[in-house]
Amino acid sequence: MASNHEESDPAESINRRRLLGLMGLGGAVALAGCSGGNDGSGNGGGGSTGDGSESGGGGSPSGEPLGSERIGYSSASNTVNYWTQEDFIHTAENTNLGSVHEGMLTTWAEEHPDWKINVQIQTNLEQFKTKLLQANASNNAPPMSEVDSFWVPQFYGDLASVDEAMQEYDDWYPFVENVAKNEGSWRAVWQNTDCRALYYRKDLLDEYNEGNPPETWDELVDVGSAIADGENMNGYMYNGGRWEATTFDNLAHFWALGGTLIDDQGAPVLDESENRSALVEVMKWFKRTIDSGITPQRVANINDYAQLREAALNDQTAMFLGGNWQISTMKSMVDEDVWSNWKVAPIPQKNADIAATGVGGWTKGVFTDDEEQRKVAVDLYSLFTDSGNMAQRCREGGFLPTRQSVFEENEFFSEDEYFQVYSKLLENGRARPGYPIYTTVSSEWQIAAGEVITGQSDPETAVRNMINNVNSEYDG
Amino acid sequence: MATQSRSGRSRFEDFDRYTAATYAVYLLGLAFFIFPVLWAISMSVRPRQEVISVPLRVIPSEFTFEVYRNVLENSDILRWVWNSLKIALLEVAGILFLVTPAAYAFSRFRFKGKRAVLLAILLFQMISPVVIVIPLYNMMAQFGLLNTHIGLIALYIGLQVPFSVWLLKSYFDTIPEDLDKAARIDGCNRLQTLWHVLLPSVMPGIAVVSIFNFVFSWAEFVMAFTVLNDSKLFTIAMGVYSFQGQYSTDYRAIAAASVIAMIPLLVMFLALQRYFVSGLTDGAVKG
Amino acid sequence: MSTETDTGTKDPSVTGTERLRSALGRFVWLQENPIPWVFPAIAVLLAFRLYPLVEVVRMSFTDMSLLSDSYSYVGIEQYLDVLSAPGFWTMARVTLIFVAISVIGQIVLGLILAMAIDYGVKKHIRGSVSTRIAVLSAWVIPGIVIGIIWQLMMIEAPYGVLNFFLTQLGFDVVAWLSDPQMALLSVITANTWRGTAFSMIMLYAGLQQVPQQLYAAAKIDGASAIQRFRHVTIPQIKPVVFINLVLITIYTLNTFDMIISLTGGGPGRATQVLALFMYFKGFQSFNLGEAAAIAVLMLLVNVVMTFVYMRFLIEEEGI
Repeated sequence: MASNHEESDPAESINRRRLLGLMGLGGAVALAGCSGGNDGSGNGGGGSTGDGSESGGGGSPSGEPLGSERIGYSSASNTVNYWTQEDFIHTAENTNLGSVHEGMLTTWAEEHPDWKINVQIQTNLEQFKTKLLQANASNNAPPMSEVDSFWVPQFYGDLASVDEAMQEYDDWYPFVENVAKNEGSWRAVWQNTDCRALYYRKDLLDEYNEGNPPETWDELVDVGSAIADGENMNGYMYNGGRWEATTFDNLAHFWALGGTLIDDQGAPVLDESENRSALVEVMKWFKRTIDSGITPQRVANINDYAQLREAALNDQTAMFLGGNWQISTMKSMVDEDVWSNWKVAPIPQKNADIAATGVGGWTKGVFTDDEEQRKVAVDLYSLFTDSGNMAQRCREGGFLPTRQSVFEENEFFSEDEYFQVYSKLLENGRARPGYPIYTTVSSEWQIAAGEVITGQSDPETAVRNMINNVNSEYDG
Repeated sequence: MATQSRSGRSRFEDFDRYTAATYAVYLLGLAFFIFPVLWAISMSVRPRQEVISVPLRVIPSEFTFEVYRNVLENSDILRWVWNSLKIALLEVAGILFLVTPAAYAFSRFRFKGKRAVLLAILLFQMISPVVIVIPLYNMMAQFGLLNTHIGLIALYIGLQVPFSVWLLKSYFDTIPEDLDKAARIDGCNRLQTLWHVLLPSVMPGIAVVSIFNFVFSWAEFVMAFTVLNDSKLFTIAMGVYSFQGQYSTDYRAIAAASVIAMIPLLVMFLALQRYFVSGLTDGAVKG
Repeated sequence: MSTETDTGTKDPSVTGTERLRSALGRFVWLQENPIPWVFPAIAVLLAFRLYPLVEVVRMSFTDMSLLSDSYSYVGIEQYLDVLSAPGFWTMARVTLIFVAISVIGQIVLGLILAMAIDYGVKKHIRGSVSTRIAVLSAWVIPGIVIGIIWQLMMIEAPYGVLNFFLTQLGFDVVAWLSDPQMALLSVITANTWRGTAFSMIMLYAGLQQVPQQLYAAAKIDGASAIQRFRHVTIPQIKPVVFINLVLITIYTLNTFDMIISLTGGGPGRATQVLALFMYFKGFQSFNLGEAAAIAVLMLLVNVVMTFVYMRFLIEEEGI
């Protein structure tokens, strides 16, 4: 059922409907046209007329290898559905990235004249997951889909192997293998990643801390308050609103303290004493940032990295906890003398000897038992693990490579001071635990953080409530 | 118009006092309601550096329409507007077709259990669409209507029926029954009475029902998001939201897209403006 | 309102041939019977409202989850879980405040605007159209986008526009969204901003239906403007006010899209209304059973509210 109505060529049905509308036909006819357009099978010949492609003879491919929502020749007889995002296809809004993809995807199309991929672009990423879960639970999952790296474990049972695309390389960062490999087989193609770091103003740190970024909380508070007093600005800011980054960014603190959220069975283990005390430490840290005056209470409503960036660029803060992609955004927004004053460093921790950072990014997965479709999908995915392609994609898209060699061998990365810091950070990179209960843990973390930052609860109470809620959700 | 011919000093006094009050309400209402919209517009026409900047520029240093060009060129926004228009119009047509006879019947017939049925209908309106989204999703999947506009239209109609019945019924209720009686005595049957006598009088109500349904379909998000996958099929509400990125929001693009999304509706309101007033006088004459 | 139906023409004509009579009779019977009139609407209702409602009630007694296909019945456990959830009563209080103030705000503002515009149109006062359009424009923006726009205006730095004006006027920066009480007030304000148009149009159309002769008669009797409002306007628009109140209560109680992008329910749980709680349970924790239980509880609140409104606004025979 699902495959039938999704295969029609949307461009064609829209045109037909628009035509009907223009011809002045009434609502009922338009309605009929509407259902006809969507229910009709666009498989084979029917779908190939929509894009103005000249029809080729015999079995040879005709028309363009890529369409507006299509990878592969429109004359191809086999269709496979693919849920993806702009960041991974030729129509990316970032046109430089788009043309990198265009080259890659055309290669695939030429090698697979019998196949075309029907691209369905997903936009709202938080809800994309819900939709994928929903579809998967009712066996409607698309054969090919992007999967957020930390969802992968949830789908282990449903994801087909992608060994051909992953196995031939051995320079994956450790976190890639931890997440994407299950029972000896690769389940997802982790094509790029991101990480979190401390951003700091070099001129201010030169003046107040001899040029050294703070490595510990104590140092951060000392430097931060000195700057806050001396410059009439905030010392340090971070995500503290009701959104995922409040958990994800600050989880680095928790991990560095040895904390674990969820065990290998997917059960929350927050009430084990070392985890609980790590959590209390983190909440106390939030409180300390506010009480010491280095952080404004308004971080409790920051739910957008852009707000951190703007605070930074507008002399509102000397340091912030941000993501690797932000330096390239800053580069594109302000003059070099402004952005080059911002440097990155590891996230300060309670003690200087442990480093941690959260890593994210998207992977590609295969949700089908059909071997032929799997093969076609993996062929496409392999293009994304090739080091040349990975380097180009990451360069244009502002992503981080998931293979160590790309950082070392490609000049763009090896000679860039920012990327060299990120590359070191990635060695200690850690993905969020990919179990269903994580979303509850994260949501409760955000609530606890908000309550502590705004003084509605003290750290111990907030942690107690958080653990109770998580456990009752898990048990109930 | 006919009512304006009264005279007298007290009327003149009224005029001053109430006119002043009306102006005051207009002024405050305009300020409160238009400001966020103006702010969104001003966001959409300023250079990127001035979206969040110190010091804040209330009036942008220069006006640029690059975002509009970007949004129009690089996204499917015109298609989304078209999709939404189509969905909203068909939804309104479907609703009026279903609901007008029902509202008439609930207003004019007397039958056992009417009150109970009406309350039951109202009860249906109380269920949040978000909750029933799962059963509805499964239902749509069963009929093969996922990722189709017709499925979404059917859902919208289904969701809006209770509200529309009630609303229209309450407008029918305000029309004196003497009106139908006179028509019935003249030999009209019920259908003729409804068509020739009641509908013209209840036009303001029908306009309101249509507008409510139109706007509902236009701005609805949760259902559309659940049913539609393909960005070519998106409604404008989904489209606008798709400018919300993973890490941060492109405020200018969202603002520009919202402005584009508002234009068809504002045009519609303006076009209906005259109709509203004429509906008013019709009703008054007939009443 | 009179609900008496005219029965005079009910009997089919006794003249004419047998066939014509029976055809006519059938037609008249069809027309005189309410069932054919309401059937299409009711059928749609059963499919799109009753069936999902039954499903939701059923779901609330199960441990259904978005993550798997199988489930089992767990009795009233989900309800107990909801009621004993640590934040539940806080959220209930937040919801009560949010709904009560928003509804009052929307209906009062809506009525004031509707009456002003009604008066303005009749007296040809300039600005009627602009005002109406301004109010309506707030209403056509999707809720999620409204949240984003308001959040942008409420940024708690000197470059948030509201705070910019405040600081220009010599006030301090206000913590619109990071102070728990203030955040709730901000959410209520944004919701009132969004929802007033609905009440305004509804009440405006209601005002149009009030027969002008009643005002004229009241004036001749020497009734003051306030008396005319109390004794003519209010009784005449009562049914519209009733349905308006019921609907905006339902909408406000069930809304969360704007809150999601404005505060996400934070800081902490300061603006987490029950609808948002339900959404999180269903789509973040994937716990459909518990989400359904919350929905059923909210439905009960709606039912109670409707009866309260009915008690105060509608006389027994009014429906």
